[in-house]
Amino acid sequence: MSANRTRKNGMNGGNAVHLSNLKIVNGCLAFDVCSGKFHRISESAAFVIGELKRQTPFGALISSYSQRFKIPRAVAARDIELFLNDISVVR
Amino acid sequence: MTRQLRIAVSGLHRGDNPQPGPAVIRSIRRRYPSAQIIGLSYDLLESGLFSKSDDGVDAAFLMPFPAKGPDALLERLDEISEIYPLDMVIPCLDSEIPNYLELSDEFKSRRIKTPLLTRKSFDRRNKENLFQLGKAAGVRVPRTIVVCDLMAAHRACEEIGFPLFLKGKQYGAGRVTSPAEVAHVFHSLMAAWGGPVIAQSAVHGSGDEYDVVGLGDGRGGLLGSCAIRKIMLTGNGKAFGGIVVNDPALQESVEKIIRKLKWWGPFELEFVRGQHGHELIEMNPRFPAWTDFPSQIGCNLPAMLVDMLLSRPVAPASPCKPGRMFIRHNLDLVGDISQLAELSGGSLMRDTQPNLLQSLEPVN
Repeated sequence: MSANRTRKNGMNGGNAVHLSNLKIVNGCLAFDVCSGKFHRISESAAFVIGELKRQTPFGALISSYSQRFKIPRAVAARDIELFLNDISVVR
Repeated sequence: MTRQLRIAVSGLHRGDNPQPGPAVIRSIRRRYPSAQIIGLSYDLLESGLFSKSDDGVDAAFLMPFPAKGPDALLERLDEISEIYPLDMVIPCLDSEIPNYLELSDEFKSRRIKTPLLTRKSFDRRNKENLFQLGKAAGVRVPRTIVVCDLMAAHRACEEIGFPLFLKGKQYGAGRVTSPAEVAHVFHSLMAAWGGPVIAQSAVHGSGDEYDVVGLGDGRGGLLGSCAIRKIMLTGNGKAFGGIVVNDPALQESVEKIIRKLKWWGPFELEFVRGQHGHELIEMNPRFPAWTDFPSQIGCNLPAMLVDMLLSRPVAPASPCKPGRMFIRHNLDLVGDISQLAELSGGSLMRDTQPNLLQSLEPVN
């Protein structure tokens, strides 16, 4: 899973992105309506962001992610944690 | 039958530093397709003079440069009005506006509508006073020092710290990264625009640039606005592409400035995103060159300005949807030497109305 980033310190040049401002466009682009920044994202990133926007509990997110991409639960949990650290999303 | 609306518009050149005129014309024609547009031009080669599209002019006149003062402007507009009685003039260049403000009573007596902006609010937003305006309105503005000579410029740069920007009073800016660059940038700006020169701290942060176009009602309210992040820049930092954003903090800053100034008419606010939020770096007293973009997505501010000038009721514009974007697209326009010859005589008049899109025709 990866979010294509232009800066090392997160999705908004170090500024936190509020999930409510994040719009997934055609499943492949994350657009922050507040900052106007947009990033190409993978299918798995789009899946996680979509679940977070729906306020899916973390445990349920891990389950649905591991089922969706047919990976062990532990791998799914690690993957999601790393992704969340990466994009500095404020939930 | 009502008489055809006749509107004079300036700032017709869409070069690498595009002027707003053609975008304003195009927006006005979206609401007033039969309006007759009179172009006010300073140069034979202003690109808008050659457009046969809906951003073109029905007639054009060469104008005295703004530095010649209000009397020269009035004399020329009187000459134009003898041929084409004008209903209104929409000046689209910063340097023109002081003359129009000076002449407001003259225009009133001639029943020509011009901007109703006050001199006070115009002066409060200029580059020398922007820092104080920001302070009064509660909007962050980078530290600014006004300088009139090179020694003072060096002192200001040391005081602010490098890197910073040196800016001309009305146009032009240069980034200065070391003391060695100060003299060159300072002298270039003085030669091009005269003094004073403004030293302005660079904004540290993401460096993302945001522009907001809007229309003030003169009582502190906002009739409409559109905020974009610049997604493509020209070599001199002009927006070549932008995307609509919906940032409540940015909008709040815009509203604070407009309320403080009781701004009347069009404006463009330029912000840079710093570590502590948006910082206002400039306020332009006119529409920007990209003003036809919001017009195409339901926020036609130039047409609203025409309504305001005609004292028609103006309903606030609907907000622009975040994610709508524009990319500028330059095309080659075909002209003829005869047009230059005609305009060099002072005016260019077209018998027909070649300005509408459907009238585009092949040129052999």
